[in-house]
Amino acid sequence: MKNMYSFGITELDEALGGGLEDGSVTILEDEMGVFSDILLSYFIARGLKRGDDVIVLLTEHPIQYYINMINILGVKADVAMEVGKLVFIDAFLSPFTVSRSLQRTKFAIRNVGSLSDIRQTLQSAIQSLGETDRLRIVIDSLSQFLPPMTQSPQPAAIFLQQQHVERNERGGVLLALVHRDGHSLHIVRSIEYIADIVLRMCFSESEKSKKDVLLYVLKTNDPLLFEKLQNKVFLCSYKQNRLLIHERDKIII
Amino acid sequence: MVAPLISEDIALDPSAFLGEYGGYIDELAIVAKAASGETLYQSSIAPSMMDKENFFERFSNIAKYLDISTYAVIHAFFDELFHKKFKSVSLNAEEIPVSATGFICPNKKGYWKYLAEIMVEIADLQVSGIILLDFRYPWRKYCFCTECIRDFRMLENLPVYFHYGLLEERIDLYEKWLKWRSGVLSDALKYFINHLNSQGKNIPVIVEVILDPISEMTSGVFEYFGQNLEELSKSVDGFILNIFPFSTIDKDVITDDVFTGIISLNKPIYLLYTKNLTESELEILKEIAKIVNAKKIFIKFAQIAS
Repeated sequence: MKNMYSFGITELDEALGGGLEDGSVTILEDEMGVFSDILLSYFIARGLKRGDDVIVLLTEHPIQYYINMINILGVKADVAMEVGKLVFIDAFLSPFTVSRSLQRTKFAIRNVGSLSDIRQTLQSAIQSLGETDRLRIVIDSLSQFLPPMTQSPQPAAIFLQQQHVERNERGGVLLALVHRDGHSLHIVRSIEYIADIVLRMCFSESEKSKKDVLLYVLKTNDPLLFEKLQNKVFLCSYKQNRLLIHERDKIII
Repeated sequence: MVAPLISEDIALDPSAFLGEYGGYIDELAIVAKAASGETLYQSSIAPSMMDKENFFERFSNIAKYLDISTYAVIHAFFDELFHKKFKSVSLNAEEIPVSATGFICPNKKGYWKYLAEIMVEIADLQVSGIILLDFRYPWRKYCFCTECIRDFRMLENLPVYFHYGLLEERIDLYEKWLKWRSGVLSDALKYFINHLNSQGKNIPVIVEVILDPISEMTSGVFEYFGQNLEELSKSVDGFILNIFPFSTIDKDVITDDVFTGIISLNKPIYLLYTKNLTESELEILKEIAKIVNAKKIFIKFAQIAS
């Protein structure tokens, strides 16, 4: 039986055959304004609720931002941090306020442009967990590894390739956010090729429902599953601190 | 006199159980945090046991309605989920370090915070008290994990490498080590109780004490399990004597003298028996209950039903 990592959102988990498969690397593509960070928070909170080890690498938010979101989902993030089940890597505040950042985590990346810095810090964070059976790595976001002036997907692609090999050998999953509208198409495509699973959250292109946030599964490592999912669209809504994801044809819009 | 202990491995429906037996009992104990590390209620920090996410709450709510006092049982320093992270390790000369399966080192402060939060959550579930099982070191040679070695070495200015055998050779040091590790356990208990009080949860906490000839009855608990009963009695609201968990119950070794120390602490005493119970064993338990003036004998539900 496959070892799966669920989101804690029934319909999405069922559609993905139980969640993300152990050893996989997943890209979540988003665009400005969609609540992709909420989906990431669900993935983190779900992991903590079922006893997984979770590493969260942040390049665009302070740690407190995610702590608050995890708390809202009913999981005490500070206790999870205390027992070493939840480890943050700060690549957001650290370049400017190292000392303040290090009060919340031992792990900081000073230069997000340096692949070796990112990799070494991630390795140290994984080692700090000790022996781990189940590991979730969440990155918000990979886009910062690809600064706007960079016309090459190389840094993110190399990082993902390394993770692909490591997760395959050592287990665990990686879920990384990429801002689809922040890069040229060929860069996004290059990253998609490396990932095992590609999810996309974006606004509807239809004039009638252009405020709707939709979720597509663009790629999976299981051809049979992909065949089932390739024509499906999920509608996402966030109300009263709850993220709801349903197959679009199942609900009345 | 006898009350059921509902453990995590028993499949029963709370309403059916209390409907059938509720009229005969005034107290019961239910496992809230299992040895696996999972909870039998919906926790915000620990994973819940599959299909038993509301087991404890359903039990305690119905019990409260029936005027039955519920005690929540927590496996304190035994947690299969955290064992890999916070394992308790023994170390002796020329032996490879051995970790006690499932046991957590009581010196892990991060785990204290975790357990304290669990106790706060449980205190909100209509309970009359919390019973801490496995509130101890696994055995005599524990713990020599990295933190324990570091902390005791700094305290006594010891060389980098030391182990149980070396301590045993130096009686003064050995005694200091026993005192130090029992102090860790007492500090953990104080931390839990202070945390409960700081959250406004003034709930009785009862600690398990192993009574077994292998570990030299109650007089051995300091050396075997690191429990300084006198020190613990300053914080706890009672002790629950786990009767002969490792050996066959033997009437001859149970004398009044065995209990003098624990009775003198003047704390309520409960009894716990976790093995299959025969009629003669029940009689022995009743005799012990008489000696220690036990408030209750907790027995696994399966035995009571039979």
